[in-house]
Parts: sequence; C-alpha cells; structure tokens
Amino acid sequence: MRVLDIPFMLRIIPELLRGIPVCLEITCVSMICGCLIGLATALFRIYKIPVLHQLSSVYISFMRGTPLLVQILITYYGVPVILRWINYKYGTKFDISGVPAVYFMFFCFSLCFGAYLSEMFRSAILSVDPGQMEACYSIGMTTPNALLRIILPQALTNAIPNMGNTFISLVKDTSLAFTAAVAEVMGQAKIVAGRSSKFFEAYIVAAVIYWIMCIFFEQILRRLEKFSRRFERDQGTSLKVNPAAHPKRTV
Amino acid sequence: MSKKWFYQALAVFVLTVAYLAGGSFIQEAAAEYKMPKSGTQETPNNPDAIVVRVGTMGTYSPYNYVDENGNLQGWDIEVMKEIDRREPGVKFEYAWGAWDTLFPGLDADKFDVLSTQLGWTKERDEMYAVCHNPYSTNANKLLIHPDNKEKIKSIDDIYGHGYTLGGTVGNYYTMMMEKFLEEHPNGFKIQYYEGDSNSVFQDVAAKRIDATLEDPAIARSRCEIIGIADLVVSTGDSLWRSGQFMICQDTEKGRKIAEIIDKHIADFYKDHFLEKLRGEIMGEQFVEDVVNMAQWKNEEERERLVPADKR
Repeated sequence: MRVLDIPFMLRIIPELLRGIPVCLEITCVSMICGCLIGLATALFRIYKIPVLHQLSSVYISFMRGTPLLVQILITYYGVPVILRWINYKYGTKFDISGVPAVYFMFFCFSLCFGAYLSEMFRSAILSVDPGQMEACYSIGMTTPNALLRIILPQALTNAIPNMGNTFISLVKDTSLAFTAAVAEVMGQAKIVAGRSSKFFEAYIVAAVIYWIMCIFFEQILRRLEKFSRRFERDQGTSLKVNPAAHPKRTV
Repeated sequence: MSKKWFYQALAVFVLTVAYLAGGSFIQEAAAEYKMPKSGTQETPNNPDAIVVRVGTMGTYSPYNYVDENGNLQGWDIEVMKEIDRREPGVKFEYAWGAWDTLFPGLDADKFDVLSTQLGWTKERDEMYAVCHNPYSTNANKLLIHPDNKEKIKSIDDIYGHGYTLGGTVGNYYTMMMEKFLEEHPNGFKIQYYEGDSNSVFQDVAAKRIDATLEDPAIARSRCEIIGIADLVVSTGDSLWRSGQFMICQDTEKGRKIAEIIDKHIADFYKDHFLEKLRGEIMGEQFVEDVVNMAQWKNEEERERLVPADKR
C-alpha cells in the first residue's frame, strides 16, 4: 500500500511551475479578445442590427453548446486537414505548420469565452436603468457617445462579479490546452505523471498551484470591484437601502 | 368524461408499446456498443480438447483488433490460430479487454495466456510463466514527413538541428526519446501529446513536428485509417529490438501451455511460417521483424545458450 510520496511532490513543483506563463498567456489574451468579441456581439443583439444579429445568435449558440474540448480538437487537428484538402483541390500552398500551437489556443478560447461574455455584457447593459439612455438623448448625445460615456461604465460595474467568475473559470479551463500539445500546468503534471506513474501526487500539486493562482486573482478582482463602485453610496456590499431616501410604509 | 378516459388509455397503451419496443431496441444497441470493449470468439475444434483462454487488447491494430463484425483479427491472433490448428489437444478461445485488465485477468484465472505484444521483463518472468521463444519482435523507427527524407536518414541526423520530436505521455518510446536527450543535451526538443498516438501522426503529417519514434507497423495501420499513410514514412533502421512473448499463468496448466506454445513456435522458425504470415497479413516491409527470431529469446535463455565471452 503506497501512501502519498511527499518528497516527490516537492521535487516536481519547479517543473509544474514552468506551465504557469503559458497558462497566464492564454488566459489574459483570451479574456481581452473575448471581451472585445463579447461586447460587439452583445451590442449587435441589443440593437438588432440586421445581419450581424442573426450571425451573433448562431455563433453564441454554437460556442456555448459545444464542449470546449471538441472545439480545441477541431481547431487544432481539423484546420490542417481542411487546408490540405484546399491545397489538393485548388493547387494552393497554404501552410500553417509554422504557427505555434498557442495561437490556436488563443483563437479557440477567445471565441468560446467571447460567447459567454457576450451574454454577460448583454445582461449588464440591459440592467442599466433605461432612464439613463433617455436622459442622454434629451441632452443631445448620440447613441455611441451615450454608450461609451454613461451606459457602459455603469454596466461594467454590474458585470464585474460575473466577469471575474469567468476569468477564474478560464484559468482552469486552460487545463484542456494539453490536448493540442500546449504544455501548461496540467500538461506538465501529466508529463511528470506519465513518466513516473505517480498520477495522484502530480495532480494534487497541480490543483494546489491552480488554487494559489486563483486566490491571487480573487484578491485583484475584489479590489477592482471596490474601485468600480467607488462612487456608489452603499458600495454594493449589502441589500440595505437607505431608510431616509424612502417614505415609511404604513402597511 | 369518456373522452378523457379514452385519451388516458391511449397514452398508457402507446407508452407501453414504446417501452417494450424501444427498450429492447436500446438494449440491443447498448449490447452492440458494449461488444468492442470485451468479448469472446470461439474456434471449432476437438470437443475433448483443453480449453485455453487467450487474452488480448483488441485495440492494437494491426497486432490485435476487432473488425466491424466483432471478430478479433491481427498478427497475435493468427499466430495463435495456427498453433490451434497444429495442436489437436487444445482449443483456443479468444477474449479481449482493456490493457489494465489483462494481467489482473491472468492472476484471477480469467485468461490462460496473453498474446498481445508483450516484452520480457524480470518482473513478468518472476510472476508468470513467460514463453521462451518469441513470436515477434518490436521494431521502432523514426517516422517523418516525406519532405524531410533527405534531411533525416537515421537517428544520428536528429541531433543538433533544432528538430522537434513528438511523443505521447507515458509511452515507452517517449521515455527512450528522453533517454536519448539525456545523452545529447539540447540535441532536440520533445513535444508531449496526450492520449493516443493518432495526434502525433497527424502533426507529423501537418509538419508541425519533425519526427516521432514508433513501431512502423502500428503507425502505418493508424495512418491508413486516418488517411495520411502517404504523409508519414519510416526512415533508417530499427533503433533497438526485443522479442515479444506470450505469457501464461505460473501454474501447472500455465506452464504446460507455455511448453506447447514454445514447441510450435520453434517449428515455425524451422518452416519459416512466421515470415510467410507476416508478409500476408502486414506487408512485405515488415517481414524483417520476424527473421532469425532465435536470437531474440528472453534474457535468461540467452544467458544460458550464449557463453559470456561470445555475447
């Protein structure tokens, strides 16, 4: 009966830490690109712009409806097959063999999380009181101007807890990147485990590394939320309303 | 009131019919789905014969695999079938299961012999009755894209050019690549893949990695299925070889079966049956794996037969 090999777990920490830069790379790039995609598609759907509105709906439905693992496999292993077929049929010489696998991951994760973020942005924008938009129109602001200066800042405040959640879940979803041979933390753990057959130890160390990274991000997100609510009266920490602002109910 | 009763009765009737029909249909589909995971296949023989249950993986094309009709095929099985034909006193039954269940199956008396490309190790020799005569050797060559044929002709060309070699996690071939890397630090990079070798072959075909190390028979079989057989070719000679043996239980019955198998495989060496079978089943380029098999007997045997100063 073998108990946990603690010295082994301590020995493999440096090797697993090698995966952190890749993990953070994928997380940050995907989050930024995903936010841009999400914001654009959310606005298309809110304002029902003719063609883009339907395309956005299909995109969101597909990206949310299919497993991320399948999306990664199709992108990484399917694209060369399609290009080979195109080269064969049309005599072209497209070659993406020089493109590092990480770029495929950026593409895949951005699209996938863009869909989730789109719905988040849509709900956040719709949660801003419609009176705000009317007030903007009444002083002569155009819609883009109003969105940029008045609506989105308020919407983002509402969206931050949700986005924070997505960010932290994205950090852990990068563990799927190893199916496309991108060795981030989980990939390094599998390499070590495959070599030594000590799966339990390697996965526990990987879990602890993810947890420490997520604690760090949680702290940053807490401060970010506090900063975005700096002008609000009750700082969003409770549902208590200010009794002086409301007339007393007698019934 | 009667209308409501009628519709309720109709609903109950439809659901019952659907359950009876659909239930059996789903059961059949589930049974068929379960088949590839494990199953048995019998060969007709003498009714008084000893029954020998052969265990194999069934997912290791072209050595052992299950075809569309649910029948076991492959090199390991054909060798066993020939032994069955030549030996009237035994009747072979074939079963397949996942890799993790084969040795435990041998321990638990679910199988009498394993025929699934197993190498000789000291641990296996101590715990089981390993046959003395190998029925196959494992080859392993570098597999490259045809465009690299001029650049990579043998293992010596791999070092120092910044090539990337691919391998799956936990694979024996990947561990050998790591060993080569220890001997030649920074000679090449290793890119690790998860799961099956299929993803490695696909990346060789897509030129994302320069080479991989693998048994060329397995590579060719997998690549033919995927459709990239002309984009992954082997180069150079086999880097090392070892014999593949059948392993029986370490009981009286097991040792007797091992003796019978050894006797027939020694006959195969004499009448070159293995070479003919190899050419038929796997192709002429793989016949080299089964010539002069006597030299690949397991380590202990070699110590006994070959004097120390002649090794």
